[in-house]
Amino acid sequence: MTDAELVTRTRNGDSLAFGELVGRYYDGCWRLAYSMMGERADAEDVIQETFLRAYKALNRYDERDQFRGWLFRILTNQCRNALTSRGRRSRRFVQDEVAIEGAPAPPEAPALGIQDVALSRALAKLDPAQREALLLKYAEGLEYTEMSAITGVGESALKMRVKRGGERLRGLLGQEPSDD
Amino acid sequence: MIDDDDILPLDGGEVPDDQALKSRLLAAYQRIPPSDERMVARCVRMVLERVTGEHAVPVRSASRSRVRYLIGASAVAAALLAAVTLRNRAPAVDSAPQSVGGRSAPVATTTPIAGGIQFDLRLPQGSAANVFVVGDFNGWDTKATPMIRDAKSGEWSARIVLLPGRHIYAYVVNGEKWIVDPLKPQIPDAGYGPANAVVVEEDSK
Repeated sequence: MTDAELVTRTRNGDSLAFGELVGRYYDGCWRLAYSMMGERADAEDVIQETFLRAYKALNRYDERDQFRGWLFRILTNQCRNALTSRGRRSRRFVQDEVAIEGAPAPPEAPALGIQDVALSRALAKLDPAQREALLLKYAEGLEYTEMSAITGVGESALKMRVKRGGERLRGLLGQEPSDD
Repeated sequence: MIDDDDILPLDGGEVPDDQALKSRLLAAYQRIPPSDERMVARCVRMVLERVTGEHAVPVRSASRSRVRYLIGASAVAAALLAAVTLRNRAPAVDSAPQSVGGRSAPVATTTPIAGGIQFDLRLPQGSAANVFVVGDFNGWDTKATPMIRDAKSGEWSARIVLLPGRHIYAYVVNGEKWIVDPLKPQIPDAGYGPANAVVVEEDSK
């Protein structure tokens, strides 16, 4: 069933269709939200709020748009709101350091949960807007036009954020640039 | 905050990708532990509970301007959880033997470790060529998480990093026999076979 069909069914009160939509896009949201928020509980809260807002706004969703892009637009907004709210409470970026540093590597098993600690820490020190731009560009693999549609930020500004964010990240990691 | 000149266009308009940084970011992104069906179910339940508590979903078509109230948010979430679990389960599941070499003792143990769980399983000598742990944490993939046999004790072990929360698991012996530990908590059998459950605390070490 297509996204548009699931949206139509959800609008008509089909809760299972909504569950299918959530199941289809939760993991994509999870990776971006976790990378942005740096903390599991906050990431899960942000995603729940995202799907709640999406549900309430389904009547405004235009089927000609990609559902994923539309959803990510809400998600990035929610991440910004949550980071701003958290920033007011505390400037501390919470990271699961205990879990990360103490995580043993299971022998011959996939690297579930083993994280690049240095990168996580460096990302946490970036301005959230630069972090968002770098993740959308490099981790999500989006084009600047897609990033602009999702974030509502102009392409030139996004390019600048990727450039400056990359420079700062490399500096934090002690790396030299490696352009194409 | 972002500098004012953040909005200025760049000369030439193009920013070359930093391939090393891109690769490292992408690799880190892909290693994030995946979400699981319980997180999805929690999300669906929360949203449906919130919207039914506030207002119902308005039907878009004015010609059928009847409002259907959402029912059973929890039931929907539970159905989703069951459906996702059912989708990936193998058919036959036995209980782990309770007596090994004449000894009556728990043959399977789960021990909290930093950020996860250590699974240990003792089987009758020579009865297994390979053992894998399967569960919601690896998509019930029977090849994803092998257990390692200790040559001295004969015990099979696997250490797995898990997100906090309840995890459902079973063991697969020789690629075909699914077993659970009868002495450990099991989730209710919803018609697709038993499985054990284990809870990972936020700060388990």
